[in-house]
Amino acid sequence: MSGHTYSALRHPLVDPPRSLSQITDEIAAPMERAPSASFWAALGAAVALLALGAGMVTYEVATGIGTWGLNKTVGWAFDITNFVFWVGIGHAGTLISAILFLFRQKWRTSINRSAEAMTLFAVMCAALFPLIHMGRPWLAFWVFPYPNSRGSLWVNFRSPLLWDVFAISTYFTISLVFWFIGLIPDLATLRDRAAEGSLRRKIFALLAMGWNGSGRTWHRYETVYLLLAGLATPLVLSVHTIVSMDFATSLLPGWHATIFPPYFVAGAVFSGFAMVLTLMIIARKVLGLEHMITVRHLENMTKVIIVTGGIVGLAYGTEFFTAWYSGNPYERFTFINRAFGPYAWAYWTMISCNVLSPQLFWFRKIRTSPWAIFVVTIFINIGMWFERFVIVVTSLHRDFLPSSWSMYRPTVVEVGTLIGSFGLFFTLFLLFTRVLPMISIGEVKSVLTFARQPAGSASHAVPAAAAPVLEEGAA
Amino acid sequence: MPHDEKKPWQSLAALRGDPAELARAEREFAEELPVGPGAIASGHAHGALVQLRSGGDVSRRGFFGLMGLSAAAVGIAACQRAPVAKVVPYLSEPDGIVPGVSNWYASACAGCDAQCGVLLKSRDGRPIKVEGNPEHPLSQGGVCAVGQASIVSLYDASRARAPLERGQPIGWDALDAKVLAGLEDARSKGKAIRVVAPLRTGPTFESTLAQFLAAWPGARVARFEPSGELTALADAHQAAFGARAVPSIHLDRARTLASFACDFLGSWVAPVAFARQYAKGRALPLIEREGGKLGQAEGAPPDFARRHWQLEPALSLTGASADRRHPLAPSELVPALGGLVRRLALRSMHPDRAAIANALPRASEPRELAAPLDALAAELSASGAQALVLCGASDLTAQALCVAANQLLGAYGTTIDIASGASLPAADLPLAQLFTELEAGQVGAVIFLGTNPVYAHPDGEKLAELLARAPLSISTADRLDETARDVALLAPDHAPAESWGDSEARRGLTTLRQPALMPLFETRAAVESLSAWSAGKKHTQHELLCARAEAELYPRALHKEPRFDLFWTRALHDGFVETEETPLPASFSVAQLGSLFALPLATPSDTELWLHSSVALRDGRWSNNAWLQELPDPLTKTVWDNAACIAPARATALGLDDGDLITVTANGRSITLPVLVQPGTHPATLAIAIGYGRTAAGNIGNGVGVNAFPLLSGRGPARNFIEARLVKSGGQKPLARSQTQASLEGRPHIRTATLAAWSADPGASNPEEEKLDSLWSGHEYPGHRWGMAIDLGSCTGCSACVISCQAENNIPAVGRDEVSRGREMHWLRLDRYFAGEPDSPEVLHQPMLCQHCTNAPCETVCPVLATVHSSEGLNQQVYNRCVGTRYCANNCPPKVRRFNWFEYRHDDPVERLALNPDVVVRSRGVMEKCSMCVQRIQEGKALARRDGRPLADGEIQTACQQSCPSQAITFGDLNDPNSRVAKLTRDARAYRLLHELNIGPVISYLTRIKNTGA
Repeated sequence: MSGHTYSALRHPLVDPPRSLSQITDEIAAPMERAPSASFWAALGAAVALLALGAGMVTYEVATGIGTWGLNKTVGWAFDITNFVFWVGIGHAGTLISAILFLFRQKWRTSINRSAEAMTLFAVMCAALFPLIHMGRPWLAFWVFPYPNSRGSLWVNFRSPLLWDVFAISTYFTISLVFWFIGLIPDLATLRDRAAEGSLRRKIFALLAMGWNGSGRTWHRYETVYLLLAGLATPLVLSVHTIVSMDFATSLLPGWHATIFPPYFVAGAVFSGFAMVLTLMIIARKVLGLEHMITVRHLENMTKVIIVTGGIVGLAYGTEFFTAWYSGNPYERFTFINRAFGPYAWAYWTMISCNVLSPQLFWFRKIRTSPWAIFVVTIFINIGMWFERFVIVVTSLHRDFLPSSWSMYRPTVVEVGTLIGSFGLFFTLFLLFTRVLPMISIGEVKSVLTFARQPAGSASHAVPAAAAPVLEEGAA
Repeated sequence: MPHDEKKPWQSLAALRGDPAELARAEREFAEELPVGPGAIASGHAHGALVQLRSGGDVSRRGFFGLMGLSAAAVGIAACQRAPVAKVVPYLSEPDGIVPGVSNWYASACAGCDAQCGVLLKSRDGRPIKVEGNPEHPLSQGGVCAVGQASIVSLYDASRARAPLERGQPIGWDALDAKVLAGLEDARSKGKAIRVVAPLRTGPTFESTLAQFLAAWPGARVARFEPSGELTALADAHQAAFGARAVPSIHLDRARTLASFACDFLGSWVAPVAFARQYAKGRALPLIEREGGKLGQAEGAPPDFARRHWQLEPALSLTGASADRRHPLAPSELVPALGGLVRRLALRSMHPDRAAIANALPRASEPRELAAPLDALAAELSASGAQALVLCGASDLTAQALCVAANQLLGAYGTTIDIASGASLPAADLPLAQLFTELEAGQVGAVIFLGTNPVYAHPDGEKLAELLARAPLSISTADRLDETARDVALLAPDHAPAESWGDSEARRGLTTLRQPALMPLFETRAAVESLSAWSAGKKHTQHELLCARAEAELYPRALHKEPRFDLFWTRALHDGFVETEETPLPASFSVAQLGSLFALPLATPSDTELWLHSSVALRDGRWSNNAWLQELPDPLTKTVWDNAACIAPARATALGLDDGDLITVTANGRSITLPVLVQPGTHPATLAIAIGYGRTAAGNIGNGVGVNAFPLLSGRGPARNFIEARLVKSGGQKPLARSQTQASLEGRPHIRTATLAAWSADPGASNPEEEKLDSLWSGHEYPGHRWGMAIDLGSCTGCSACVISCQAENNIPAVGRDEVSRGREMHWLRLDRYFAGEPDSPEVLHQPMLCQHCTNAPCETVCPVLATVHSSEGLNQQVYNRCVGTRYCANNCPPKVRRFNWFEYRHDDPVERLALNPDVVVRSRGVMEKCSMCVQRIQEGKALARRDGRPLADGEIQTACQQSCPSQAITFGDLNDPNSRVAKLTRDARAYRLLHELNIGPVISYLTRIKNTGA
């Protein structure tokens, strides 16, 4: 090897290299051109699914929870499964934007924006389910501890469902603020690109909050961003920890387990990365951003999946060990029933998708083939949905008293609502790709090749001050 | 101040004094408000503005004026009052009615022919609950599920509301004129007048009927009993003793009880009274346990020889309680009874033993029954007079053999008594003859008095056709039922709670029926109709009853009163009269009895039909009752359907599974119904419940299940030993069952021990609870602490408590479809498990309701505090706070919480009269569950406080406890160490469900003890 060898880390993150203006142009392009026919088709499909879901939810709220397949034994099924699934999806966004930021993982720059958007949309989908799963959703505001005229009536601070309310609303608020702060420099860029006096310019001017690109502004911005990253980081752990406590603090065998918090967090990151990959692989292709979201990005994410998938697999094993080692007959039965009972198909779907399929990522060939990754991530998405289904339904349907054992079968309304939540998610995501920069323009510029190579050898030498340099002591 | 003098300026132009700029600064708004002429032109402003504005521009004043007017208009519009519904108090309050306080009327239950005494709880003039009459000598405070549910039948919207002629309303006078003309016509033409009456009515009814018969010479009565049980029983006793009567039975005196297919705890003769006697005989003493030490036994020691044997073709409620149970085919019933009598004759010293033995049928019992029969005969003989043999079959030979067995044992006079039995009217006209007469066109008038043979007679279809040939046909059904549809005139009877009446429960005991409300509809009591159709003066039912009471009861009453009105007031208050009666003349004659042994025997077949009454629907007369239809059968746990029960081995052999449709053919008739694989069924038996498949019961009961009566076509009432053919007809009809899992999976929720093990160690199979630590400081219960104990040894699984709870707490029936989705609403359910061998399993029943846990898992998880702990230890559900997350139900270990999946309507103006005003009706989306009848607790406490006395133990009874025929449920204050419930909770047999979870239930279950040992 002549000269110097680049480590994997030093491999350019934008490949082939681009100039600063090219970056801006390319990222802004989808917002500035008329939507393509395929966009309209995709949006139409998403809105159709959303409409289906809206119809199903309307019917359910108007008629009663009886339109679902629940019964006296199985009080939760699709509703809470979907809720945990969507909350889990959201986790990758926060992990990428906050934790990877703190760990100075430069490769995050081209995926964090859309991952965060995905977080917000997923949390919106998730929040829908606790609302509509209530028997009387019009009284949902009762879960908030607000001063009232009903004597000393207060909420139950011992209830994990209440913790959920706080956890989810905090998570959503912080994620939204974090995302918005991160957007401000780009919004300013878009403002400046828009024609003088146009509505577009007015809107972006309002959103950019007077960004002027000065050194002081950048400094303040970076400080706030760092602080918010620090604030959001514990949320990655806390939200799913608290979601897991919905189950862990109950006394139902199969729910009542101390390993739930780490198990759920790992599962959430696992499913979230799978969903990010699913979306990115499509988006980079459709929007022509393959040089910014490179195979290396994808590969890095598959590595996270291998790790978190391993943790999830370990948790599955641990649950069985605990069930056996505890000597608790109910616990033992629950797990035997999970693997060999009437819902064994769901359990083995989960195992195949979550434990077996990620093992393919040990092969570099698969790790670097976007379409292979896509297929595996779809499996993981399915598997993680089934993980929650297995936890919720198989634990409930056969618990302490055999007299109450029953079977659960979803109705059209429940399936329609699940499909509708995907409709909501994709509708929001597709609109997002049209109205906001999918990749952080400012941050990507900081990882361009010029910043990495020795002075003078850079082919695209541009004054470094033009772009924010977030790294310290790099190159 | 100096700096004030500096004039502020806004712009250089203003400082300069540019007039345009100054003018602009004068204006308050930089832009015009959208209320000027331009805005009006663009349609933005309201027309009223035009009038308000002055000089082309809207002034500030004008704007505020308009705003004020709008606010005032809104205010005035909001002044409209919400619709006012007035609550009008009584102008003059009726005597004895205090709004909100219940009145109680002693009356008689009409659920079946058992004549139990009941108390009707009436609120604001409408009965809302049936409770047992604790003073009634027979039922002693118990009521079965059917009796409880009769409240729904009272407010049944499908009842006839006026007399009808061919479905069209007709006045009572017009109806009577037509009837009298028709009867007169029949007499003048020399045609027959026929009456079809129930087998067991009451003395007043019988005397009125006798008057009618006297008024129309040549009129004759045919008796119709759908199940045929009492007919066979009475006929056998008539043959043996010359007295056509239902003997009185004392199960509590029977040390050895052999029951041949007799479901005396479920549906036979008088289940409530029998359950009470049965529980009394098997009661165990209370032995407290504390720290491993046993206290003194409280109560009589048990009788170790007491054992109940059950030999039956299909599992019955009684079989489920038996100590020993053997399945046998219906055709084996007579041979087995014959074998038993033969064995008893060998051991007996009875003078007629040889005569009986010689008359016995030739067929010998099946080989596998020989050993059990040997053992049974030995035990029976050892018990002698304290033994009892019962048979539930409507077969005369079987009943006759049963009489012989009891006679050989010397049981008559001890455990069974004919002299104090309830006499039945003598058989007059066989129903078959009515068919012949109708066919021949000899009948001028036929009257069906509360009987429905078109539905319940095997040849009902034929009867429906024949009825057209009678010039006059009348029914006194309470609705347009199958028979009433086919007759010309319907003279609808009152509901029992609207009627006066009497009935002879046993000789010397008359149960009185008094109404608890004015008739809801334009109906008339059947006795009044009969009286109106007889010659002479028309009498009201009250007059008829009083006249009879004054003539017959008053002179012979045990409790003497100086005047009849005093006697009558007392009698109505008590609900029954005991009179001094001479014993029924009865002398045993072996010759007559022996002749019955010689009836032809059935040849065994591989498929034998066994038609039986279900615990809920009995013979089908109350089929239009949603509570009964939705009451899970205690043994099959099916609702809203009947199924053909077959043995597991047979099902495997035939490749049948639950819900597979089969076609059953017998006597040339076929029915198609789903199969239910039921453990405990004899392999050759196909057991089908009667009482289903009504076509004109009403909007609820129509088309539920299949009518099995036609399978008996041509057989008359003898309904055993029916050879049938079974064909898998393909297709499925999934059964709606409230419980689908039959095994306990080895879990210790129901603990059982043998009597021998219990006597060795009263805590057998029930280790003492260890004390568990808790992070919580625990609740304080300064006053009362309510608790409950349920004795699984007494509980028979009869499900009376389930319906009692439903009636008390306004629990909706949700229908077949919802139950099959697992959404029945019962707050109290009966869990049923099988253990042991599937061909003759042990059956375990457990009433399951909210355990009112001390550390309730539901309470911690509700986000809005809709379920909370009371200072008296109740776990309370606050319906109007509930948002319906269902988390509480998920976290409830016994899964007793019930969710309102839909809005369960209580809209029908008649049906909603059954609602209990003390209990709120829940709306959709909220959780509900057992409240331990908190309304009764509050009422009891209020009464005690009013009287300034402490609450006595046992004063407050929950609905389930009150109705329990075997007194298995005890409720009371655990803070009072001497209360019955506190003592039972300390009993060595007491255990609590899932104690290891440290949830601390306040309900204790008592280990079930069975005398199964050698």
